[in-house]
Amino acid sequence: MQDELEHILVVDDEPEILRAVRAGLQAQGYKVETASRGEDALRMASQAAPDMVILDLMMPDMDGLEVCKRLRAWSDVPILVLSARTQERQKVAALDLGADDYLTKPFGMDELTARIRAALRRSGRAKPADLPAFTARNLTVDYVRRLAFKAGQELKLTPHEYEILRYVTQNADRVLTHRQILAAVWGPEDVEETQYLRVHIGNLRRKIEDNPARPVFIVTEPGVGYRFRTADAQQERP
Amino acid sequence: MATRDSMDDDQQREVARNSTVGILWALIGAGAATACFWLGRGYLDKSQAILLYLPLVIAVSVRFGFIPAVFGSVLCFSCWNFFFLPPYKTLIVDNPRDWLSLIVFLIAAITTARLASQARLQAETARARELETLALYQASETLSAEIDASRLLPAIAERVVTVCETTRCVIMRRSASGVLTSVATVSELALSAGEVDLIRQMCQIACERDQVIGFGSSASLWSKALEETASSQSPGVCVPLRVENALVGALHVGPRLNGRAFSNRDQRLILALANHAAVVIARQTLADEASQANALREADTLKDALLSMVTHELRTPLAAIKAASSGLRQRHAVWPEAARDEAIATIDVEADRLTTLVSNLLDLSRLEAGSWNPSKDWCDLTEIVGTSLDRLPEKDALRIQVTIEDELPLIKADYVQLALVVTNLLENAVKYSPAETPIELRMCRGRNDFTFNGHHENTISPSGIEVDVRDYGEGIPPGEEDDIFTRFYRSPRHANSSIHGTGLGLALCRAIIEAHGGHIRVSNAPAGEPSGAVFSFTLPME
Repeated sequence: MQDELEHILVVDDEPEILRAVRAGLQAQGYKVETASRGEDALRMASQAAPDMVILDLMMPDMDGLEVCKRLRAWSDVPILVLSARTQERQKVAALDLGADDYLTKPFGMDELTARIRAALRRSGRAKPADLPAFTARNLTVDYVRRLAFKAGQELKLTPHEYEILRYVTQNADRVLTHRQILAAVWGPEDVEETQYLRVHIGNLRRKIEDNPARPVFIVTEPGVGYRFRTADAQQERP
Repeated sequence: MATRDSMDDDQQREVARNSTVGILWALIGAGAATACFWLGRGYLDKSQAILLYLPLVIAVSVRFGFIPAVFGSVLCFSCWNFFFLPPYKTLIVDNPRDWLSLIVFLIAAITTARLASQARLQAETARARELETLALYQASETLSAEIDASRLLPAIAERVVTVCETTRCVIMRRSASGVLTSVATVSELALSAGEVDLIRQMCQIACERDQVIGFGSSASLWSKALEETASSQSPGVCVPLRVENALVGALHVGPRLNGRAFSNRDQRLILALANHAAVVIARQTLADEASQANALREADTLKDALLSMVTHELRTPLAAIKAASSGLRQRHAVWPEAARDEAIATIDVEADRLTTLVSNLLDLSRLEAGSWNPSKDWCDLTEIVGTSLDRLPEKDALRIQVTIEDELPLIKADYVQLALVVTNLLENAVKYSPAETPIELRMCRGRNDFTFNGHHENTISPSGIEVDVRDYGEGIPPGEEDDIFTRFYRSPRHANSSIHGTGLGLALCRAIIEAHGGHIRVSNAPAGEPSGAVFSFTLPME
């Protein structure tokens, strides 16, 4: 952990939410700044260089998506988007634009802090592409030899399965949309072919999960995509 | 003749043709009779000859009417005079007795002709009336035999076209705001949009003027009103439809097939049928209003149900939250650690309950408003089960025994919505069965048929997916199998129980499954097995 307090920028147009989130995060030991307009948020992000941005997708002056897009133009600060239940499409669009994670309102403080911890952990890590191998619990992926092991046993993966596993583990704890995975594994022209993805994820789970019906490594984000979970599932679940 | 004035062109033309033929026949008859008399002049007395002319005149008058008969009379008179009265071969009459015979003959012939032709006209009128009455009778018989109200107006239009031999008949309904919409069209040729528009325009004019336009002299009004669309073709007739004081629509009749104007009989028929149409439209309007009132009443009932649910399901958690949070804020209160934790837990749990309630309400209203159409994509049902189990508390998830048929194909569905259905069904099963009993979730390919409530039914989608959730609770009270999928419905059995329910979860399930083209139902476990409810839904393959 760093010496100084981690700095979080919270952007939301509703003062009640700002107040509650600020109080909750300060109690957890974070330094919190708030903005209620998209323009302010962009200015503060450039001046204060926060470690993380929590961004509401529904704001009066500027679409949260627009903020997300402009922020990503020059910064790779982790972005967590907050969405309403009726905003499935915007949520996926924000993730496609490079947001790291999402939460649907209303959310619990425990959930929010868990997501923040995961995002900060990820951004504090060395660039995953530079690492020769990845390990989570009893699963190991050797990027150099292009092999995967489960409890020491080598897994027989097809090239596509290995590519999916490589991509999700290199982006562990991050929500990956169907489009992102399809583009990374199959190429940008196949981003609509979700049935390939469903079938290969199903097969991959049968090989890496203890109980493929209740996966703990590659978990489904309903209507969005997948997330490779490094921390123990039971721990992070509310 | 008195009836002559009211005759229309059609009849006049007919009469003129008839008269010409009659005059020809009179000529032929008179010639033939004169020739006969001439040949038999040695045997016949000249006064007997004139008596033989009389039947000829009567025959002509009966068959061809008055004018040919008069012509025949004069002709016979002249022939007789010319050939049989001295001096022969002249029209001069010497003998005063012959004069008398001639004049008596003429008077007798003309009088008989007049009587005979009048009788003929009356018979013809009577026949026309009979035909008209028959047509009307047939029309009203068709109407009274037609049970389906939506087919009444087309039936009327059809009658107009067949009885009056016209090209088309269009019936338009007029809304309260005065907008005309076509409700029945019978036409030989399909009408183009432009023609329909022209007809609507004509009907509009008839409605505005509140008069029948197109019969006889009023037809000239069209040329004034429709200058820009003036066509060589006769535009036909428009009758505004009135019931009491309300203008309910208009009836348009196209030009006749033979291009002629409408006869009096046709006009009377059209007006009579237009009356029928007006009554039918007025009745439909009343029925529509009644069903609207019904819908409003239903909405009211729904509102009542919503209010009573909200009063209970919203106020209970709010009261709990308020009590706990205000208690925690009291400065001087001394809270034991355990009580404090409990108060905080109450706030958290009750807020979750409110969240679920609001989400369900929101989803249901979005679905019913059609603004949440399934965004279908390929779904793995195994994955959906995983998502649903993750949403249940771990102790409940452990009760669920999952059986998934091997090699179950992917289906095209909305993942989020389907996961919501499975979660709701599982939560429901958890809620209404004893905590120690298992809950079975089974997913398989749909069978061709299966037994439901003792009936043998064919599923819509033999190649679809079937999902069953079976619990070991009390089962469904008979008669409530359908009601429990209704919004805000709560079984009377649970009215005073401690089990909370909003009557939204299952309604949401049904709305989602039906939006996917599937079916959801509930039945009790078959006899011989332990009691319990079986919720099943089917989804088509695509």
